[in-house]
Amino acid sequence: MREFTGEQLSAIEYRRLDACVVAGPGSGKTTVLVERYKRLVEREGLNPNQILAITFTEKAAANMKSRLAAEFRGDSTRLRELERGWVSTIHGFCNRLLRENAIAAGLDPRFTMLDERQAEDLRSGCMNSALDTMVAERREEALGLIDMIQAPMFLAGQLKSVYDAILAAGRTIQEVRTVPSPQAGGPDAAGLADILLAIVSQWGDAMLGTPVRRDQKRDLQEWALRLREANGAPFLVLKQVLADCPINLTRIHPDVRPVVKAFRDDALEALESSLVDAETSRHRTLVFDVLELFDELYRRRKTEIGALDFNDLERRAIQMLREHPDVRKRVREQFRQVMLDEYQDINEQQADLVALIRGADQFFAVGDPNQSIYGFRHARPEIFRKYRDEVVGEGKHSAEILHNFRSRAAILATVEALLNSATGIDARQLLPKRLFHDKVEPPVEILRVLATDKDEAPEREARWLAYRILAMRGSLVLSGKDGTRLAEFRDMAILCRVGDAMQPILDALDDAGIPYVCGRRQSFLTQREGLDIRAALHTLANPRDEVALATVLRSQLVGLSDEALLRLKMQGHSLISGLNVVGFDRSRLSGFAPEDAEKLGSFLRNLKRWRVAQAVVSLDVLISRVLTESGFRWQPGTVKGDNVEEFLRLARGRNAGRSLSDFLVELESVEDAASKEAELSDEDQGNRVQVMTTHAAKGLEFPVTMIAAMEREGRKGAPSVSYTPEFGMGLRWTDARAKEKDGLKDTWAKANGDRLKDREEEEGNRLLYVAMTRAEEHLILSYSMTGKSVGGWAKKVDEYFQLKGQPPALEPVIARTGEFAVTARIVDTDPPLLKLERSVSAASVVVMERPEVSGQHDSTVNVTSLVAFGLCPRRYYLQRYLGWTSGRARRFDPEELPEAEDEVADTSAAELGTMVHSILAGEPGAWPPRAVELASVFQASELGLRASRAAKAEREWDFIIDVAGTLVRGTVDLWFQDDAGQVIVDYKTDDISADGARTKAAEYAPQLALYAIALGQSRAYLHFLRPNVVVEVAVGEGAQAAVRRLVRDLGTAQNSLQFDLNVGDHCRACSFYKGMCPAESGGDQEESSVAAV
Amino acid sequence: MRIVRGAPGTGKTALVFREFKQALAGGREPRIVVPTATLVRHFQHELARDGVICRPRSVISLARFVAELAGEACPLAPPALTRSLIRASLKLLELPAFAEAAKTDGMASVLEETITLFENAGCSPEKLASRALAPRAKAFARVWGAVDKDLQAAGYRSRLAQFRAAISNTLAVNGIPMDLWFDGFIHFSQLEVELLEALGDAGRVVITAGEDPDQTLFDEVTSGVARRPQMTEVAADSVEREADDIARRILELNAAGTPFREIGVAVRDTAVYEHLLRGVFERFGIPARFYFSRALAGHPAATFLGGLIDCALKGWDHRDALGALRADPRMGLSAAFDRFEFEVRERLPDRGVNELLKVASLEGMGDYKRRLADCLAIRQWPEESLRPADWARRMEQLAAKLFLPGRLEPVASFADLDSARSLTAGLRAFTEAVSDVAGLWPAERGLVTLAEYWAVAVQAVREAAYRVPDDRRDVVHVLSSYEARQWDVSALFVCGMTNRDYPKRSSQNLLFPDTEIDALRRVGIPLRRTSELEEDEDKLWGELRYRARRELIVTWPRHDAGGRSVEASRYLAGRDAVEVAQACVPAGGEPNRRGARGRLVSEELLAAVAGAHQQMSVTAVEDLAQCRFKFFAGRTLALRTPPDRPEERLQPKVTGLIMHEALEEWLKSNRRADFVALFEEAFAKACREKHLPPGFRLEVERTFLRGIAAKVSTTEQWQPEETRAEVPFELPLMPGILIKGRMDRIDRMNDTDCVIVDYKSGRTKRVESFTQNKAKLQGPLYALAARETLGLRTIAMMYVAVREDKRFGWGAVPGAELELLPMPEDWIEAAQALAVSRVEDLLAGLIEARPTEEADCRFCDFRDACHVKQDTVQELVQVVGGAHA
Ligand code: SF4
Repeated sequence: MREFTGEQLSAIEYRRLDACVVAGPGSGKTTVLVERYKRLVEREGLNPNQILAITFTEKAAANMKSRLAAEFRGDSTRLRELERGWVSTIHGFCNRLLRENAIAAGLDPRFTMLDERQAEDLRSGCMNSALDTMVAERREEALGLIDMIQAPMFLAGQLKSVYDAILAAGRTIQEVRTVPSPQAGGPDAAGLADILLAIVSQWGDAMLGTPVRRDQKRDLQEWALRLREANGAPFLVLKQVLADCPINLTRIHPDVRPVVKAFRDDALEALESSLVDAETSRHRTLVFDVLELFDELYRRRKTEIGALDFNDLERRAIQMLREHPDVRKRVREQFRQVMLDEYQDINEQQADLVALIRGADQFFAVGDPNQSIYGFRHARPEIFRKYRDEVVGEGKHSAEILHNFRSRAAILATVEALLNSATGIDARQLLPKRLFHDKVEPPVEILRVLATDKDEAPEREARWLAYRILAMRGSLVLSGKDGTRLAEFRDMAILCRVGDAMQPILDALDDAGIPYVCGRRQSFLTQREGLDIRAALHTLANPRDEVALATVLRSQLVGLSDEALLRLKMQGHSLISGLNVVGFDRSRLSGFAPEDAEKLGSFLRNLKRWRVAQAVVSLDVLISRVLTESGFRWQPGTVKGDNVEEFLRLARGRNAGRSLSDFLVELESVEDAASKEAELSDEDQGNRVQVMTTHAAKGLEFPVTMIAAMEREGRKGAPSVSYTPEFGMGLRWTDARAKEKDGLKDTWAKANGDRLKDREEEEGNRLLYVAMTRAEEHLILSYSMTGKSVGGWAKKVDEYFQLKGQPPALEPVIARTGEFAVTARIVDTDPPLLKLERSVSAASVVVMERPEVSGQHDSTVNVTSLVAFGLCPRRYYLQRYLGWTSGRARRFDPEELPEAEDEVADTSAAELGTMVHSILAGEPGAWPPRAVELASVFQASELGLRASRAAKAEREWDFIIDVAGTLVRGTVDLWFQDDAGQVIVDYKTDDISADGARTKAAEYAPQLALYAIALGQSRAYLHFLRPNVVVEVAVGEGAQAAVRRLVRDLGTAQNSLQFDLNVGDHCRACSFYKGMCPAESGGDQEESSVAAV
Repeated sequence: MRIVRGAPGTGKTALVFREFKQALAGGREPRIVVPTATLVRHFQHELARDGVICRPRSVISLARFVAELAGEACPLAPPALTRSLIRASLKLLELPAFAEAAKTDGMASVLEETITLFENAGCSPEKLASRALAPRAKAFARVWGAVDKDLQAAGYRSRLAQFRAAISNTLAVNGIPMDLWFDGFIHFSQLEVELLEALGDAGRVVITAGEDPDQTLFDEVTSGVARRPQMTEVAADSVEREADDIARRILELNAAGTPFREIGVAVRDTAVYEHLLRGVFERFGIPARFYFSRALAGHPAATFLGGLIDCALKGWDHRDALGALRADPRMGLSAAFDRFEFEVRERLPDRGVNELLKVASLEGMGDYKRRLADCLAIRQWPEESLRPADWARRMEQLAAKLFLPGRLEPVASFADLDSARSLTAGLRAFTEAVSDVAGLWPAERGLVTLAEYWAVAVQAVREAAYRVPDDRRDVVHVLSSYEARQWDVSALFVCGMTNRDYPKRSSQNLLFPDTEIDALRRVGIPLRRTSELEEDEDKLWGELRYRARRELIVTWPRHDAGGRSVEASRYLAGRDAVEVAQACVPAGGEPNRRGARGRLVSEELLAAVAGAHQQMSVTAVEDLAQCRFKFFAGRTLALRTPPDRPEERLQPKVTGLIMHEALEEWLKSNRRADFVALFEEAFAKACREKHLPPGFRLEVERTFLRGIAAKVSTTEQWQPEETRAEVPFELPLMPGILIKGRMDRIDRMNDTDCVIVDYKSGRTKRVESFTQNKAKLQGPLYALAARETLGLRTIAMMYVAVREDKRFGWGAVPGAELELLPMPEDWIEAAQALAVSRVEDLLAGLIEARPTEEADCRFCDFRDACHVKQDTVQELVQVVGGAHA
């Protein structure tokens, strides 16, 4: 059994009351959770069904599940129970809860989940409609809003974000609409004037020593009077008065400056904001109306398609639990333990949910306020703090597990040094617990890159990072499981605070030949393969998209020369008309260079096939076919292979009922979404450097961690539509005359601005904390700069290690502070050129020869099909092999042969025939006289009489036999045995003359020969009932051999997909004549094109 | 009744076959009953290949067997009809117990499932209704009762009724000797047990069963020796690697002599593996048959025929109409339609039939107009009311008439055969779906409108599926694990063997959770509990485990299709010998060699280029200066881009045009007209001509541009002697090449000097960059034109960035405060020389993609076509599936 620290053990074993555990980075939190779970099951006898364990990411849930499965390995009962256990993310939990209680929740029990991007697309559509409706129905008001609101072009996006934030806070639009102004009840203009006058009136001579100060006092008094007078005046007038405020702090005695400053910064600004409130209140109402309309539209759309978004999961679960006490009670009783990880990243709505499901003293929360970095997803670390305080206050269990089993001591010391006093961080000691090999060089390295050019700086930094990676690979010694080992690419990760700082880094890695994998998974769309596949799909959708067409033609899929492109255009008046012309008249290919002609010819052939296929083949299969048939090969594990497989994966996920053009539109939104945060899959990324945002790195650890572009700041400032749970929705407005870039803030916006500013600063610090604590053995802090000083996280590094002003040097210096040292590399030139040899071979990939394929003929055939094939292979092909019949086709019957029925011009004749057969088969029924009459023709005939007397007779006798390896099925109308031997009879109701009957008999001969094969030696007759002609058909050896040959010929035709025409008089009776069959051109074919040549 | 009991793979089926043959030889009429249609065919074939001449119907599925026994008077309702009836009842009854959920599609399917649950337990709606029930259960009983009644009224029977009829007929024919074998069943429902018992009384019945049947019905019978295929377990890093590895192993088996038809793949998660395996097998050249249905939604028959009906009902919205017409099997892929589509897209968001016909009458549409008229013939339908059966017939006729391709040549490959057959198979499914629902309306209901009929039919179409026939002999069988469990092959792959799918978890019934099921069991309704369903899962694996005669290969991915970690199935727990999937690729298929690029050498083509570009616009020269390929693609090949979507039409190009139009008028009026008014006019005109969709975005843009317009007229800084707008010029650049252009504005300051102004409506930053952009030759070329054609010296040339009313350019205007750059000495000459050299290059055939200003590539329409972003150079091999690089 593994050993636990005392702290860990107390967290694992504590059971009595609610508990709150602060778990620092690398403290073995997951191990603790797993162990606790295990003991709850093993020692306390809880069924996994009674434990709810919630993790922050799916990755973490999967990790926990797999560790639990390993713990219970070999115990199949436990494993079975674990399968039904509740280890998931909060969304996963809600999903399951809602599915199991869909009716109570008022949901479609088969609801589907919209992924983030689908939800975003749907939301955008609804927001646009809401705004359009506003313009259509309340035009004047809408135009007024557009005039006034700041940055109206971004309004749609900002309203969507605010909507999300409102829901995450567990509020409704209605509730937010009624949130009062944060400064309601403040003094009006007259009140402020009085306050100012009161302040000023107290300035005695001691304060007014200079003329300037006296002037200032007078100015202020005059202005205050103006302000008082303007009370209640129109906004613009008052605004002007405020703008004219003469306060000049330098002209005021230092003792009273603070009072005046406070008056200016707080009171005056507050007045201005409240004036803005009044002035914009009707616009504000309109914005709320839009939000409400949007809310309604979005909900309605989701209901229509039976889908939920992630937010709904939580919202609907809460709603259900609140409205259905019975369900709530059941859930609470079910979970005897609720364990929640990463509690610091929870939001209000989630906290509400947890409160609804946790019974008394069954809650175990783990978190670390220092690692709360999901503010942009509305996480609220306050919730964790509050819970911790409660737990402490009520004397329940609160513990801290702070031993760090991940990083070297110097790394932890650096974290403490840089961040322990920062806002938003709970200062705390990180106690190194892991053992490493001894090492001389400091494990923390600073890379400070200087440049003169703004564009050059990040590129240079990126080149240095690439250089360092190559230098460390194979030489940096790491502690392995047993002893030491040398660093590989897979040990290293580059973290960026903002995603758009990654590009130069990726470029530098590319240039150096360093293999990497980047969190932005969708980038394949903009890589060569992605571009080519996309162009190919556009071409399939409509080849008139000539840019796409040219892209494909020049791509690796076709490889046409530029000359050929021009030649193609010259065949018509545009590229596409040229292509159509050549498609129609292939002889024109002779004007091209032979290689081009060949490529173009095969592209034309394929394009037509692919276009036909695209309507019925799933998109991924289609793409894979296009690539394969174009000779394009991709190999797993290569960048090219990954790009293709990513594309295929995307296409595979979007099959059901979506057209190609829908998919192409969707690709655009996929590409847009690519810029958003994406989690790296935990699939084996191979031996590559991982590049990701800091947010994506949460929960991961890397032997070598590089934090790059530290000079970059995170998002700053409040958007023009903002929301905080504390103050509600704030709006910013424009004023043509207001110089301030920020525009005019209403009182809510003002309060939100201050709140968000604080929150961003705190979260920025925590983000750095998370980034640095990912490192196990080596940490590089890297940034670039052009000026003398630097912002962002880099500022902290610069200041703490006093690097400002230090000269660049070729060799790194050791910067020592207190107990530990770091290596500082200050550079103003590019690193020496290092490039990775193409070292990795493809040896581990096996190349498989394509097999020789034969035996693709059908395993079974119907007798009637065989006859049809004998008559005309092409007709057989169209009618029976493909299934084109006019009129209602028979239902597909999986127990029967998958073939279409006979083509009959006259359905009533066919019905009559069926009825006659039924009568003769002895089926009871009220049959029409004509049918009875025809049946009696046979019954009265000699054969009919013989049959009725025969010792053994079978009617409608179906059979299945093996003929030359093919199974032949058929139904014999009648066979009987009497003294004269065995007789086979087939009745025909064809409307023909006596002469015609004899000719027709030849057509049916193979059918009877087959019956004879099935039944053994027999004589066979065709009885044409209408002319009442009986024809004996030879079914001896010769006939049987011929039919065996026919079976083989059919097999050959099917194998080779060759179905020849048999043009003759019968064609006129064929429904494919002048239509699908080219026997004689009908002259009304559609215009030829690349698609339908 | 006899029961043959034995562990999976102990030869129960072989025994059935043996006895069946004996019975046949004895002149009796034996029959084998199996659970699925696929198995029916499989058994039929096995027997025939064994040389047994018997009637195919000797092997029959249980469903058909029951139908046969029940007789034609008891036809089973088509599922589409049952579902529509459920939906209709839900709507009609408005049951508070189901609350909001009652309105959803999913609720109908829950009810359908629950009905099956009860039918299987042999319970009727009446029986259920007679018990004391919780509100939800009561509501269910009401819906079920109503549906049952409606079914009968429509002349159909429920499954329960059909079974009952079958049982009573069985009892009626008691005494007729009947030899029956029931093989391949994992579990018999109560209903089935009742039938078996009746049959047992009627004839000789043999049932095969697994090792530990829980049903008291079974007696003990021994069986043969167990088959023990060798089992290999393979773990792959991803589903893709898993599929590749399966392909590799199949190829290896085949090369070693196992025919493809002796190989099977059992699939559980069809959503992931069906398409994946299809693609992979196709790529590796493995012939395979997939025993899966495909959704009719999205099939051309549904899209085209259903789409036309939808359009007829909704007023022919053009976007929808294009979607439908594209799926037309006759002309949907013709060049005429391609053209038609783009023309219509230019006019979106239009609607209406006449407008469509108008577009089809444009030149170049060939025969399409006639075809379109045929397709639009249904436009009168919405005004009619017919009997439901007549609507059904109409739709069938519509399908038969319209859904026909033009000339068809034999396909080139079996993959194409599948596509070709999909068309007819889907068509069939469509006509079935739209006619099946006709029974929804009681006979006395009389006429219904198209809207009423279609509202129901469209649901049926949406839920319908079709199967593409494929009967090839030597193919790998890919089938659901449920069907694979009775398949007999040499080698069987079971893929996706994760704990998510093996066992598959069944959730409790939403209306009758296990607690309620227990209660009902106590009062004699033997419903199955969830836990029992889970036991079936164990049995299923038990069966699969021994399906292969020689080799069982079980594969699973460590990460699912979404990249999330997954665990191996617990059925594999405790096994250590796991092989790792081997990365592989199919041989051959060298990519096409890239054709010669960047250069034209043929005399003929050079002459054509020279002929085409004797005249050039200034922007064309700029394109050429920026990049030779950009010029070639945009000007020589004149590649056209597809029409913008309506919401994307209001682009800088369009706003630029609007501003220019207003500017032109304003300058013509000698700057006296009201610029804002001119702008408004130009904007309104653009809205009409460019079909700009009204709405918020349009108004935001209008407001924004109006703001710019208001600024434009206010900041004039100099007083010229004369201002001319839109001044055309022609400038011989070199022998045979004429540059033609039009200057926005030229101010003559005196007899010799002028100021040239060009208005730009793009972003200010970008306009500013023009002065640093080596490819932007407009300024100096205008100055050259002014010199050569007007005899004026340019003292200043500037771009006005109208958005912020800023000016960037060269030179100086006396008296005006402008921060322009000094005019370089050889400004005009350098530009002229660059233009001349680029044109010379062009005439010499140089058309290479190499941008002068790389940053401008992102604004270039041809950035994908030019391949400046080259094929991925890095080919670094990832460690795949644990193999080390
Ligand atoms: S993207 Fe750049 S290189 Fe490519 S054609 Fe356009 S300008 Fe030339």
